[in-house]
Amino acid sequence: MDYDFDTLRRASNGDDDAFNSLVEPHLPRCYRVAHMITRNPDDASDALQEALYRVYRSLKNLTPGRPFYPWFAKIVANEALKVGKRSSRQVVPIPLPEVETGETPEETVLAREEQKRLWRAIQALSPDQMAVIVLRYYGGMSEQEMTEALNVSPGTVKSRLHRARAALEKLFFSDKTSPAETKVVQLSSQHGGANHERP
Amino acid sequence: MNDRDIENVLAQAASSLPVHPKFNNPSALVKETAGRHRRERQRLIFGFGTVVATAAALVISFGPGTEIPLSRQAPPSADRYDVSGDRIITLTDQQIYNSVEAMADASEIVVRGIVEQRAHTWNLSRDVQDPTKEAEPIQPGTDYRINVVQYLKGSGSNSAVVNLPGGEYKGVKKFEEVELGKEYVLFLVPHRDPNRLTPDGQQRYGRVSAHSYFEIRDGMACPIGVASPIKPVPFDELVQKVKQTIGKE
Repeated sequence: MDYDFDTLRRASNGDDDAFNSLVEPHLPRCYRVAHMITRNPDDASDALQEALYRVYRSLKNLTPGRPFYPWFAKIVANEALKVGKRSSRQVVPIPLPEVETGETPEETVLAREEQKRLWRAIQALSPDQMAVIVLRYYGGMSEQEMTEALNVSPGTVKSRLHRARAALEKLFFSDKTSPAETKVVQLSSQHGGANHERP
Repeated sequence: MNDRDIENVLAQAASSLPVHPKFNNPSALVKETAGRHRRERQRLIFGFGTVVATAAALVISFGPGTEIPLSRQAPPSADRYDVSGDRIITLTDQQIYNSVEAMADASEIVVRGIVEQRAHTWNLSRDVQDPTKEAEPIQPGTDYRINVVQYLKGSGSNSAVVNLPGGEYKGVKKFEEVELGKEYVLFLVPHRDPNRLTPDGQQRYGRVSAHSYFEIRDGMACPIGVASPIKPVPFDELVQKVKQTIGKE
């Protein structure tokens, strides 16, 4: 369990320090969940702030022994979906930072292109599908935790995940922009050609 | 494309998202949000009140002698039960006390005492038609026996039975807001339970509003409960405020 009963009791009785110590470890991850769902930093801040207020007011409803993080993440995800729906702010694409992934420059570029393509596909998902994917693969929730967080049956979680994955695969394989080969050829020419040509 | 790829990409993208510094103090943000919500509610009530007043003025101006049929009038405030034993909260009959004086005024007794023992736990959720019957969802409420140190308002024996939300009943657990052995000041009214007596025949009391009990810590009386409109006050000041109220009566 990710908290102790005394902290929860004090937090639910209005102790600010206890509340802060309860939520602080989860804030960065929850903020990023909100940001990826809303796709706008201001909307993400609004959603997280509102979620904190709801958490504060509902602490008494948290069944003792139930893990805190999935419950918190669920409130954040729901608020992010709500804020995202009514927001008129512009979607701000989230950049994918450069990371060395392959052993050779070609492998790095190829892996990089694949990642960019996958990230484009993820960002093209609907907000609901994005929420499921983000909670599962970034939020680190197991299917059991998602069942608790989304308050649906394990079967429903499985089917939602399956549909989101199917949509993601469809988007991924239909994305033909910036094919990896182009980049490899460009890189090969920069490095002098022959040794870096694609087989 | 496998699960690992998705996890990696999401983790990479997330690493580029800095958390706003305002989240360094979450409880301050909660208070700010609570204030905003309160202002929004006030605006809503004010707007609603303006509409009603305008409509009433129009009826008076243009509809002399027109009597609104009883069936169309707003129903009287229903003396029904809610899960906490208070009246059901509506926009018009919400019981919020912004001051100790107002709370003391509404209370029948105000006691300072130590929570001695849990007497018994029962379901506060009552059937609207027949309050003697239980209803769903189960909302456990616990009777606590308070060893009374001092009556700040009213009088009685040296122990009082107070019912507060929380406890465990038929497998449903809710947090208890008071702890055994701790000292509190409680603003109380006779409980709304139809029987009002405990199984051993003693008067049962309930809280006068959601924020009507204070824990005494280091000479301070600290309100219990989330988002209380009343700030912690020195215990002596609280006693003085309660006594001033009695003086007015």
